[in-house]
Amino acid sequence: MLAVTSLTKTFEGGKQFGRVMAVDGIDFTVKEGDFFTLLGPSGCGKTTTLRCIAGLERPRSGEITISDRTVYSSSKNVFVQPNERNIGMVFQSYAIWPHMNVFENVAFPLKVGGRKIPKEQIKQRVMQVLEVVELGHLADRYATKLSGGQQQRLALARALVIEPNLLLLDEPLSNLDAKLRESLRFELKRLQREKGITTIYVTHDQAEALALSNVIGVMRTGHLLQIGTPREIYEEPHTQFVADFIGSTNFVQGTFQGQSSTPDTWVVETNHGPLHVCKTADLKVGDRCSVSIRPEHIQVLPDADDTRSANMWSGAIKTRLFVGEVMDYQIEVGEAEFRCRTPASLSIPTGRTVGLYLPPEHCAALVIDV
Amino acid sequence: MTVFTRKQTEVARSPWRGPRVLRRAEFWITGAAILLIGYLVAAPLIYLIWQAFTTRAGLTISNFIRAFQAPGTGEMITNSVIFAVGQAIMATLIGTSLAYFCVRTNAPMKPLLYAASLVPLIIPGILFTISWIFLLSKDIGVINQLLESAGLGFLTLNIFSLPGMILVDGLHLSPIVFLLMFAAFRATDPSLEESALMSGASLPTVFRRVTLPLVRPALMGAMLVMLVRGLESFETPALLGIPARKWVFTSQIYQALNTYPVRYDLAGVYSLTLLAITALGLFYVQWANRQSERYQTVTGKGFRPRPLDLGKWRWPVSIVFVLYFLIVVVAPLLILIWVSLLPFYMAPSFEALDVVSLENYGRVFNLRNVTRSLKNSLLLAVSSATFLMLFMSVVSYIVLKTRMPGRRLLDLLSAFPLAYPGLVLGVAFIFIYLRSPIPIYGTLWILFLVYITRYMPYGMRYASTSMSQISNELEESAKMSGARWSDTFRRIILPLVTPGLLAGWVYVMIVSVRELSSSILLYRSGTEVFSVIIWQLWNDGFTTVLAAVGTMMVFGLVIMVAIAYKLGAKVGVQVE
Repeated sequence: MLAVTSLTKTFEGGKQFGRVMAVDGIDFTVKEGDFFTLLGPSGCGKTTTLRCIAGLERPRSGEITISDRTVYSSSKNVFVQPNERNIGMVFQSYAIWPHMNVFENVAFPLKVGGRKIPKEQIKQRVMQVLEVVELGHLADRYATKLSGGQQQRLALARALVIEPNLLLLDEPLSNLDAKLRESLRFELKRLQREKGITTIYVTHDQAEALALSNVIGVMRTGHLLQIGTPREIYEEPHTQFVADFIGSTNFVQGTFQGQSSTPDTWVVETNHGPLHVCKTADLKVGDRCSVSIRPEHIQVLPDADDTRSANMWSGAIKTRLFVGEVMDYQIEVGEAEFRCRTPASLSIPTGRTVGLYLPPEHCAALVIDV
Repeated sequence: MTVFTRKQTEVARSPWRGPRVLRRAEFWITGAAILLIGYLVAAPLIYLIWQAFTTRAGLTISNFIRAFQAPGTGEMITNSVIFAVGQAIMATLIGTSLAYFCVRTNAPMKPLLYAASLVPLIIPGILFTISWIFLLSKDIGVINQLLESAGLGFLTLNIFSLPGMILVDGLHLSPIVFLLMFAAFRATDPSLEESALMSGASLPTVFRRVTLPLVRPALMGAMLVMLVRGLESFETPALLGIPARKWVFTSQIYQALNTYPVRYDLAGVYSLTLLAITALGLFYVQWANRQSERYQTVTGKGFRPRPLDLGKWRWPVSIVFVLYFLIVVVAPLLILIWVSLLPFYMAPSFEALDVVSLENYGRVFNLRNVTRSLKNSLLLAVSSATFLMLFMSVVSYIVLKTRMPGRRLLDLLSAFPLAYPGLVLGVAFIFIYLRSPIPIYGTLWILFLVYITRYMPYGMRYASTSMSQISNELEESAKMSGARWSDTFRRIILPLVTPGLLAGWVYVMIVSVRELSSSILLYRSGTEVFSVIIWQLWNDGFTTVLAAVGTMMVFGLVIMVAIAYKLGAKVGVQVE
């Protein structure tokens, strides 16, 4: 459906910075009907990538194909103007035209670009899409009189009214408060599924990305680090950066020792002793690496005498936080500090020495790239 | 959330700006705009310098030596300084304290202050000064007579004096300080003061140690602007100072051009000196503003200033508001209307009521000059406002929305005329067009040129404000909706900039109609404008007719300001 091939984009950074590589040769494809999210910290090039797909930025090189139509190609010297790409886009600021009412905002795309659509049909299509986003009763209202959430849905309606091949969303929820953001997240997911429209979503909010997408691409400094389903990205990150950016995690630095005696298990030598891991990135024996384990996967054993096997360390409870359904512990192991998340029923006073079991199947040895 | 950001001074530019043909046109238009603005702005400066540094003998500084050795020059400079500093202090004190009480306390009657903040636009300086002559002149002044009859004769003030000049100009300009400081107090976070209060500081200490330091940049800026305005001021020094032989720069320049033989050398030297001072002052203000804006605390959440409870002081403070309103707005207007109804000047009394009539208003239109000047004024106002707003919308588009080389120069040049005092610009235009082969001296064209030069910065500000409101995303979302360049321009850009341009148009009309200090040097018989007629009527002693003309003028300006206000022009205080 959408194919982006070795896309690069540079900006003139002025005298101080020279030329800045905003997007540095990225490749990805998106299947029909997918909800694809570009996730990354600010300045990673995700918005620039989106704007290149939209045609609002002219890339430096590469190729972009939408529904088998090449809209940009540096080698063939093709550049289709944004208004001829049939893409719907929702901007971060929503870009609602303040001099039009709700109806006129949505009707605008049907009236421009030399389209000759009869008035009756325009009215029908606009009202239909307004009903979908539940703004039908506000059609006459001036757009600036809408609340944040309503403006967001209006922007969505305006993007959908032309029945685009592709829907681009540039951090559409970032200007809303937390409660509203959550409810609109469901709304967005429902709409996307109902319409079956291929969507590219840009965000820096990992929770949003995990909740909404079929596929996530994690970006950093102009590169795509990893593409995968939310579960893959969360459970099998390839690099320390991805593991750190998605959810919270603990890292233990060490040296990769290679295969262990048990099949499908590797050994990493750390300051606290050897650690068996079941997942590993592409590492060679002797490489420095970083083992990631999520707080909820560490088992906290109040009975410190328990000496089960390897991957068993002991530490002292430093602080504990009761956060509703779970307990958050900070546990000191030697010089390092681990965050562990246990069921709320497990209550251990601070200062107690406890055992920490790090199950190998949840330990992943990763490339250090932070 | 509080973040320190560098202030965004530039709007990001869109990568795509219409067809290639338009881009080429853009290049030529930019060039033409730079040439035209460059000519309008630089020619006066060049001619002033040329005139000041040459005599028939060639390049020399003898003009300066002669001018500064002329008898009375020292006194003239002293007077200028005393007058400028005095009225600046007065305007700043009044304006700042009113603004503080208006923004930060719960004193009632605030709308009176909002209304008074429009005075500098509605009552032209010349009418304000003349009204105050009616109120405070030595023998006939209404207030003086009242004081005399109340046995308070020692309080009377002769307005034809330096203190009188300071009083009138300080009062007339105080609303400008009010506006500047109103914005400054509005923009500071009251929680900074509240946290000082919570730390145990008393109210006066909080004011001295927290509030004042926070607004100090704005206060210094306002003070400097007032100093410059004082030096530029012409009406008050001319009407009040000349009879008292209290000369300042502006009145001296006017005098040099109205004696026989005309002393162009003196006018040139004094003008250049005055320009140097005002330009330095304004550049300093600009520079200081930029320094303080560079790193700004931007807060995500808006704050509503919580008014301070004045308690039993609420009413005394609001009585001060009422008094101020009476002094600055009501008294000058009432006396003007009163005089306009009389056959000859009389102080208000019951006997005088017998002779009250509307006769002066009828006489106004029998004076051929008045009708002609009204026509001239309207013609000039409409044409210069229309030309300026159209021209400046093109210029602001180039400056804000394109990457044309030279756009920054364009931005700078268009702001430069702020530094020209009106009288100085008039002098420069005399120098230029007495010699220039362009035969416009003594025609309405020269007035047109002087108006568009003087008001270019205002036109530019209105145009660029409305242009910068169109964020790129508004244009981009139109493009994503499938709109062509022509669709975007016609349906998005044009409707969004039009209200701002209209407001600027009315604003330029207003200031053009009131213009006196440039016109007074450039008019000839037949090209008088309205304010010049008022000046002439005053000098010829037709006080009652003048009052009728003035009343009508004020009435017309009120209507225009109301229209501008309706169109959202940033005049006066914006109450939401």
